[in-house]
Amino acid sequence: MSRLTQHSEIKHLLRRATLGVSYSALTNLLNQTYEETVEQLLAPETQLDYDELTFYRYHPAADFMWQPSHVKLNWLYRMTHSQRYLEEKMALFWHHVFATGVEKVDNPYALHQQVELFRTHGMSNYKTLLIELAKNPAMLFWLDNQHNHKDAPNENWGRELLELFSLGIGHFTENDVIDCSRAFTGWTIDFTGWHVLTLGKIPWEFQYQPEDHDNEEKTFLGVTGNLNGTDIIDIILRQPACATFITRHLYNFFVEDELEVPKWTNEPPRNPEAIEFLSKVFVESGYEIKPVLRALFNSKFFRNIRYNKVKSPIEVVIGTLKLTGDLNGPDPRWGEIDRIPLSMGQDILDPPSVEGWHTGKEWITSGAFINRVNFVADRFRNLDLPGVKAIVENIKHNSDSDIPETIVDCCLEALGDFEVDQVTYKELVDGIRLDAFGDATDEQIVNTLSIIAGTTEYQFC
Amino acid sequence: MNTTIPTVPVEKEWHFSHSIGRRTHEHNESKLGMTGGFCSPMDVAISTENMIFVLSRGFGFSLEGYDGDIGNRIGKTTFDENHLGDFARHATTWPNSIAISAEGNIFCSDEYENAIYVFNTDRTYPFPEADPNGESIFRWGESGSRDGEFIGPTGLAFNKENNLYVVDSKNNRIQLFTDTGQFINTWGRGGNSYGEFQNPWGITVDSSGDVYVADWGNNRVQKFDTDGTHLLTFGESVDPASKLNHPAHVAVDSDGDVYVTDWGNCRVQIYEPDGELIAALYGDASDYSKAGLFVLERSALAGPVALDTIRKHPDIMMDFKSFGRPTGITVNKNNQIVIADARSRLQIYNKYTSKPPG
Repeated sequence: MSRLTQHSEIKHLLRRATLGVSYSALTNLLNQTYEETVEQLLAPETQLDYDELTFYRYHPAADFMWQPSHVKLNWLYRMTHSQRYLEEKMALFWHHVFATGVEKVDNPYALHQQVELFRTHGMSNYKTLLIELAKNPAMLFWLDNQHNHKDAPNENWGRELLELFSLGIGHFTENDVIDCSRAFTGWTIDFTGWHVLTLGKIPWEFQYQPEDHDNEEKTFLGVTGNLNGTDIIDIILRQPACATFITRHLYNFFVEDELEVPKWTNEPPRNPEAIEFLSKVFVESGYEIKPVLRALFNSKFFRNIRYNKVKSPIEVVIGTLKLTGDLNGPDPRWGEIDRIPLSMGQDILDPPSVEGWHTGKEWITSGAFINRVNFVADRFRNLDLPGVKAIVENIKHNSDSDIPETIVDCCLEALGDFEVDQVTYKELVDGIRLDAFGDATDEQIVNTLSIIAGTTEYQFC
Repeated sequence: MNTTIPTVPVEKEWHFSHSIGRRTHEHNESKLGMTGGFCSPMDVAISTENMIFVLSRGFGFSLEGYDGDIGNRIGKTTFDENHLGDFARHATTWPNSIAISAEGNIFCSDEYENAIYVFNTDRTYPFPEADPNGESIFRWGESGSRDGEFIGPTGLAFNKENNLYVVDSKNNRIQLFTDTGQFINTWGRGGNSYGEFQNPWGITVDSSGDVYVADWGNNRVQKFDTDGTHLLTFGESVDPASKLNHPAHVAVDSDGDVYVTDWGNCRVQIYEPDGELIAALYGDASDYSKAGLFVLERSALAGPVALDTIRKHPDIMMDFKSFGRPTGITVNKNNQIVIADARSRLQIYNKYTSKPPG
């Protein structure tokens, strides 16, 4: 494989498996092979996390998460500064799948703990993740399981566990929902600390109340007995539909936009062979998540695909901040950072429903598109930003930087090996005006970068 | 004939007194008096009239419906928690520390704007009012590393001559100015040897003019004479019980005992003047402040539930009595120690000393 092809593949991997990398980090990552990069991403514990103490020193309110914005800030800052790239991306993946909203939960710290759960178990074992999720106070509250009592079952958690988190519609009956819910009676939250108003993070803890658990016989997916919640999760994992469902989520997130989840019952996957392959790896590994990610990133269907996924607002914002070096470290502007992806249609930690966000082209509305373009173009136009400055310097050091086509090619490469259609390419080239010495000015280069960042092509990864 | 004089050790005790404030951006008239509080308090100072001034960093963003971060302000309260009001509401961007000059003006560092602001303290503004013209009566500071310039100014302390020490945090140095902002001198540089700093934060001056700097990034407090000569270091240890973890601020009482807000360990370490660690405070606010009680009493729905829960589970407050993170700290002439707690309250301790007879 040529060096150029290998760089192209690694850049593709980084676009999909990370939330972006800085220009200097990209240069370092390109010094290894594609396979080495995959392994590095799969070993986040070997990479630097963010500097938590520095963050809290300069953003003290974020330490105590008084407001929903503070927990959003915690995550967005960490997404931008952690070098455990895949860990943060997987946390975002699970937030898409297990979408939980701070407005209903009304305890920002509980949401923070849920994201932490996704970091801890998001790349480990799916069974462990599901069990921990079923005990997660934010999730229990979000889906009303504190109201799921022996004498008055509430089916919200039980239904979504089957419908959205593990199997999908068509793979269970209404009776399965009822008995699944009964098995999770008594799985609730210790709210005691909730009432200590105004003093800091509000600790919620999982609490199992055996006296409120329904110990009668239940039948779930053909298995009968005095089933508890962990039995339900065991039975779920024995269903072939489970591996198919989760790997389709992974395919949708990393490879190619699928239809929204409720349509999966009637619409086959875009790439059934890929789902079958990933499901086989998933099951054979005992539902370990890392092996299926390794298989996915090393597969031909992943490595050969390009620019067919619409970036989510979070990917646009965090990726741009990292590449341009804007907001690198504490800054007062972080306080309102969550309003930027919100303006593009993604209010992190506050999804529109339990189903999460509709992704793909549904991200692109006219208003959202303008906000995307303005945000990105504003940053690439700013020569004071270290990432932009580095890109410009690198282009100017190119021996052919007096050739407009070379300048445009370098700008496209710097933004991620983009390709634009011929008309756009010609307009970009024609827009380059060399100065009296035959060179492109810094302003010409950043103007080209910002125009590329405003194209339709740039919305894809 | 040699006579051995028996020495009687000075007994010292620190007793928790009470807490003040709650997280809020408003003040309220209640049967408990004027109650109010703070929002991410960063520093605290006490005037010669024993008035407590509390610097709040704020929420970090503009709350919906308000222009500016209404939590960012300087509050004025008494020791018995009579909240007199606020000033300097969102007058700065990233306020870090305050100090009171001989004339009674409040000097406030802004680590984002790289400036020192001066406010007078004789008026307050009812919530959510802020002086549209800005309330500072004076300001100086530019971004940079030359004499008199700052990158991230933090701790402030006046010496006996009414000159102001400024911790120029990201330049890793201490600068001395007159109270009109004229540069006098500077010392310190980046590093971890004595006399060097790594992102220092707070500063104080003792009765003999010696200077103590909370060397945040180096996990220690350094003591210097007036010329900047290193004298002593506190908190360097391999023992977790005595090792400082990112100290924020430092204060010295009338006996010369040194108090360090051990920010990363959520405690206050107390040292003898010679650097021996003698006590630690972890926070003892197991009862609500007046302002905290007001919140519960005002809330018809949540209040009774909360009070009932606390009555049934008295241990619950034990989890919250500790410091969230202690930031600013100061001691008045009566050796009352006031600690800014990031849980948006103050915790106050009294020092008791039984001095040897004679």
